[in-house]
Amino acid sequence: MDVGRHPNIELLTLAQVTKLEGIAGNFTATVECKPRYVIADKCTGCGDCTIACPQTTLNEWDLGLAARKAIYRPYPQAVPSAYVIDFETCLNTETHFVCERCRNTCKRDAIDHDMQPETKKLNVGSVIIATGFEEFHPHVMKNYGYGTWQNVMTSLEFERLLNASGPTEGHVIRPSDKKAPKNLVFIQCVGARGEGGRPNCSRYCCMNAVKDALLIRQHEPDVESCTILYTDIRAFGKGFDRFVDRTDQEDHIKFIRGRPSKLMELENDDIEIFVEDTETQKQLRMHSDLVILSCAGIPNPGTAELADILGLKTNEIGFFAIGAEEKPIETTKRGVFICGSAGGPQTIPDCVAQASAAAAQASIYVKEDKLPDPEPLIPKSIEAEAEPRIGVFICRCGANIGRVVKTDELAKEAEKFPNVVYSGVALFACADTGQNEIKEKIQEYNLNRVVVAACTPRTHEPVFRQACLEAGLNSYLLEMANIRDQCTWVHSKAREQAYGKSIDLIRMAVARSAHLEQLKATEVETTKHVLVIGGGVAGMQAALDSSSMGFDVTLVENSNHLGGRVKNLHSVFPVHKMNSNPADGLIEKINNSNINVLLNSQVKQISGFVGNFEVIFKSNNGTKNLGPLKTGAIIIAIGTSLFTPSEKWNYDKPNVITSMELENILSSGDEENQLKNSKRAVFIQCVGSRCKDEGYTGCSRYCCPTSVKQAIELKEIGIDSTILYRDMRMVSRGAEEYYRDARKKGVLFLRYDLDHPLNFKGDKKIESISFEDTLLKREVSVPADLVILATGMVNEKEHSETLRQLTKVPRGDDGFFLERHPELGPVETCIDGVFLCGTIQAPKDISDTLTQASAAAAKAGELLNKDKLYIEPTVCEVNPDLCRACGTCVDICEYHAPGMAIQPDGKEIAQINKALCKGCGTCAVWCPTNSITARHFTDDQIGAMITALFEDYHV
Amino acid sequence: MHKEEIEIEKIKNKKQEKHKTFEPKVLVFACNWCSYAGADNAGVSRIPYSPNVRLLRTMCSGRVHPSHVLKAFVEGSDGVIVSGCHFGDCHYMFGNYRAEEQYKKLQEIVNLLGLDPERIALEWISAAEGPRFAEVINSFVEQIRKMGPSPFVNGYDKTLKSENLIDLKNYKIFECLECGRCTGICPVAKTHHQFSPRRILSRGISKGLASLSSDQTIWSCLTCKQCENVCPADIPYSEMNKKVRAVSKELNIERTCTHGGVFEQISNLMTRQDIKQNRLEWVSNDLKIGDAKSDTLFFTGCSPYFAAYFGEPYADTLVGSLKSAIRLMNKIGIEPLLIKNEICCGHDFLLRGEPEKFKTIAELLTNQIKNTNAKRIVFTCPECMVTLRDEYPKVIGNLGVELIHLSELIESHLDELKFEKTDFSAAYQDPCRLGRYSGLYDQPRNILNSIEGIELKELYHNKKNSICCGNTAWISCDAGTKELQNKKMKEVIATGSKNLLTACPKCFIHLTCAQDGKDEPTNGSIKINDMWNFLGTHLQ
Repeated sequence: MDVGRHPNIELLTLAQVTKLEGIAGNFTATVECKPRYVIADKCTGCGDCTIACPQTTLNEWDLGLAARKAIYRPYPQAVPSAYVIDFETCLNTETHFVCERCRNTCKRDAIDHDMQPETKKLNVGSVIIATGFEEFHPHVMKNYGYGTWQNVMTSLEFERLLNASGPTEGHVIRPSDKKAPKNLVFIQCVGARGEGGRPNCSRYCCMNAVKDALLIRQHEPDVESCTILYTDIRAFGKGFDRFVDRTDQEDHIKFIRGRPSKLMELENDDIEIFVEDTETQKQLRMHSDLVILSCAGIPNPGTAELADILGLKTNEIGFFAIGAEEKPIETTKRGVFICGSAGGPQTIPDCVAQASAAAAQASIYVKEDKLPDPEPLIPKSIEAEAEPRIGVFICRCGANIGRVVKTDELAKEAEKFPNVVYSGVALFACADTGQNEIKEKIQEYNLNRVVVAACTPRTHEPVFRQACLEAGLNSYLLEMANIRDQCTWVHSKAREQAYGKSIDLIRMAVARSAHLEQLKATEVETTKHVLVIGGGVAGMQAALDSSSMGFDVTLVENSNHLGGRVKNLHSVFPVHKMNSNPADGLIEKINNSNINVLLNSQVKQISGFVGNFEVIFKSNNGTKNLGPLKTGAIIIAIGTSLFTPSEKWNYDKPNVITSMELENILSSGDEENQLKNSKRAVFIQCVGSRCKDEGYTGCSRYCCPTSVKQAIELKEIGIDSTILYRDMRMVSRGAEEYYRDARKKGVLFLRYDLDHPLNFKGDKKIESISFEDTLLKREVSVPADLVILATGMVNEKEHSETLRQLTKVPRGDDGFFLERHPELGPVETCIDGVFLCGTIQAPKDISDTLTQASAAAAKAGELLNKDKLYIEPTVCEVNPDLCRACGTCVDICEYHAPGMAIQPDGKEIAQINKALCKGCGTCAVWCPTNSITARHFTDDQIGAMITALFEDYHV
Repeated sequence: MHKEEIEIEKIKNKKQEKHKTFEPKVLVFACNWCSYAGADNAGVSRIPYSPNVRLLRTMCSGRVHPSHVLKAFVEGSDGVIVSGCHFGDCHYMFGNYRAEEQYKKLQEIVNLLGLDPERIALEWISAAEGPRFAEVINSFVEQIRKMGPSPFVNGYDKTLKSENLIDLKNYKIFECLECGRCTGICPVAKTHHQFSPRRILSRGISKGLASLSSDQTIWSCLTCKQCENVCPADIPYSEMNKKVRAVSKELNIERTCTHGGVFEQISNLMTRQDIKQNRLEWVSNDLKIGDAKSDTLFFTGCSPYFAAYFGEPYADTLVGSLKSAIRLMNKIGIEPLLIKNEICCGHDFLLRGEPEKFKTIAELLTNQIKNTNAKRIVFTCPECMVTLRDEYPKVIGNLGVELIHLSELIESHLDELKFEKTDFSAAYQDPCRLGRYSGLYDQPRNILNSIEGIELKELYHNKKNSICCGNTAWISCDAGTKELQNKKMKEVIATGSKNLLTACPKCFIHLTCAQDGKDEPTNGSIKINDMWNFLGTHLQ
């Protein structure tokens, strides 16, 4: 919906790029737009045409599990909301129009069967590919019986069944007898990790299966068991492990490590599964009445073709190839970027971060074409303070409202409500004619409040607000009554009740509107400057991108050099030997840019708000303060620290080192000498990660591939390696292939778990490690003359706590900084204008860090591209006469909008910073003296609606 | 009859029947981002659901105050749903968690009010869950349909109005000498510089009724009667003030209730004749309660409601005081009767300017009392006692029972009680209704002093001159109020004692609250306890 409404986005649907010419900054793209056969601007989305249409076909959105008409909306929240005709199913052909039912029923003449395809030539600076992926087709693998046996479905089909707005309204049924299943089995890695010709891991399927298993009982409480057959549980993202841990409380969920050898359909359509439980070494024959295949993500069928058209390369697994490992969102062509699963399957948070990152990079080529900010209209003359003069406009919405309730009678009734001076009916209030009528009546009747009884304010409030503004009325003096979505659409069979309910909703709206107040947006200018805190790869990438977008950038770094931890790395997986360290490349670019770098410095104080921060720095080698520096946005990229192994890891022994220490040895150039006494290395995974009692509770994400990389490197200098792991989480790009390569080269992988601790043997130095191998179910002893601890990331930096206090960005209980939304806002924080990137948000690898850095720069750029910010006036305000400085609001607000301020008379009271307040109104509830008013949702307004409703509740 | 006519008759009957059957009136608070959008989704998907609901949109479920829900019941709702985003989905991060916290308070209040707990619901509905929205609505409406109409629908006649004329002569205001003594002593004037009883009177004389009723400062008076103590013309200022408020209320002039007006709504619900409260859950087995024959009635007051809304650390003391009061009475051989559905005394209505509601309540409560065999009512809350003693006779005549404060009762039986020895030092706070209104200064002190080893300190302003706890009837609390309270807390500090004992639940609440702020002088160092709770814990 945001995309549909955005003034700078032109949305072309049913469109295909057929040609791309030119170079970065000046491409010409040829786009073929297929006809929609419905004029999108005219369509109000009422759905009358669908009811009239006689032709039915399978609904693709529900994967063929439900039906749709030939004229349809793909799914309820589709954007644009206009309907579309599928000419394959429609009775009409391109030459013969035999059916006019939809055209005849449409009150707005929106249907045009004659519509022709259109070819557009677009001049663009850059191209972003976000074509996503497709689910693996398991019918090509006969052994799963998909397509033959009814009770085997893919996870995406299962997802549609779970969805409340899906074909079964959220009821899970097995296809053979439409009954709720009792014993479900999820099979992981279908078409992935060596199957179906696909070596890679699809990243999202483990979490998806766990989520479905957790959700199933909410939908079907009688489910007895839900078994997940897996190889490794790859819960690598922030909070994922904790989510998996929630299954401990659900007795119906079982994890069995093993990939099924054979499936068989039984007479009652149940499925029998043959699988070895590799942890108990038992061969199982499991009965299941519904099998869900967690299918891999595979490239869309058109990927190769599109790659050809755009002049790009695809990679070994068929997705779009990236240009270089340290440039994860660039393709092989300059000015063309990829994000999301177009480059390989991803999880949602990673997709969102990549999308922003791609936008950041793409904008570098289009910055000249910045559109001017829309100027807000200033209401002119109308006196809102005077006695309310309310106008009520009742929309017929074609027949959507008018067919069910008598709108004329509604209008007559509404005229009797207090303060109503005008009441009338419009065919389409949102159409130009309807809007003009509102404007005229405002003038004619000198209205100072407008009530529109039509559809939902969530989509149409902006439209009517604009009409009010154009007539000179403050847009906050508008109120809507949702009589379409809440009355005529849902009570069409109970017309009397629909009428009564409409009248009640209008009366409530009229009562509320009498209490509405004029509100004015606060205008603030933005400082075109970005401050990046932290000079590691994340900070440098964010600084470079911000600078390329044309902003002044200051980069502040605590140590005496740029580059962070990455600078010390010998090599980076999966590229074995690198031409150069990724940090070096960035440092060089920084040196050639006009970015202001402050080394040996820290942030000392931050004041102000979005667009207008003031920052003071202190240098580490003295008491000298720098600044204040004015900045519009702040990007936090201070990274994190590595876990310091505790006693139980025997870190005090001379031959026990961390993986970072091994990296330092490898990059010293003297490794053969330093490791000359070592013949057998043992890597121990999850040191300080996935721990409940120390370090970080989650997965540190980088350590599995790092150990694999180091093991291969040791192999090359003649050292044999064994990796002791809990789950091999090889989820980075190319990592799964790399893992198999390591096995091929002779690296040993042994699986341990937390129930059976590792025993380190040896007095002065470690000589061997013995433990129970969970896959052999017996004690094994691995000789070791070098032990490498793959330490995880923990956020223990003292600096992070200081920064939390300065920026007020909260930290989660795992210590990492909290993003605005784990999926939809991974680089934003709850503080407007403050962004996050890199490992300060959660552990991640270099590629994901760089992506996130670009994403943070994009978000900062989006903000600062505006010359002025308009701060919504629907915020909370403190009445200074009533505040007793108890501080409840200060404690309750997540956005730190309320703060204590000393008044001129010396009295301390709370004050709410409008720029920080989001207007949720929670503080108004908690304030003991009712000194806080939630603007536009005041107690008076809410109370007036309640009183008005029960004065005459029609039932 | 023709076949058709029979059919028509049938339809007619059906229609009439339908009018007779009960149709629930349900209000749904829906947050803009999830549950309101969920309703939109139900609309777009044309999923029919029960038409017995009306949605009220707020930006966040965190915006819904328990008082909004109670107001819906006051106005005639049969059931209310509060709905928002699922946990983790809140547009404002944790607004729905806050909504849940408030909802828990609401549940406790609803339980006390004797309202079926299933008449309210908290539901999380996402923007994609149109079918679920319909399901939630349907099952809720059906549930309400089975329960029948809300017990609060009948009773109070909304059209009842008081005569809104003020004959200022009745309040002797023309006799004012404009000497300023009232303002000089007024505790409110000390902190609210715009407030002056003298100036209000003179405005009343010169500009008349209208100017007074629209004057916001009339809501600041605490009716502590300090002014009446010193007035040479004996002007009944607090009585006049209540009258002016009644007129103002009738003119619908805004005033600010504290805590979102939740206590206003609770007392509104008390005016309904079908109310069946459930307020004796706190009575534990060790307390001996009299049977219907008992001639002593213990009037417990609003404390259970305060405990429900304020939670800890207030609840423990408030309920503890009630329990201790019964324990003390048991020790001196009294097994008091309690009324399970005890109606509020109505005190706050008088101060909120709603005398007609007060009258309704007075009649209901009088009936309750007359239905018992009580010859005597014992109070711990001075406000309840003063209201029944001084105000009821004005509207319903003499109650015909003895009204006595627990301190009077216990003082006369001190020889029968034994308290544990202590080395406790505390200051004592004179509540206005117990002291200035009732003259009971010494009784509480004598009881406390009977404990061996106790050191009772006097505040600088004590007894007749005691400073008010800062608020009455849950209106107009502000920075001035706090200043007043801080003044009192400074007096406590000055006594050198770390403890303050109060004898009124409202003094306890307001002074405890005064210690909970960013700029208070005590840093929470003063321990405040209700004297009855204190005595209960020291009873042998």
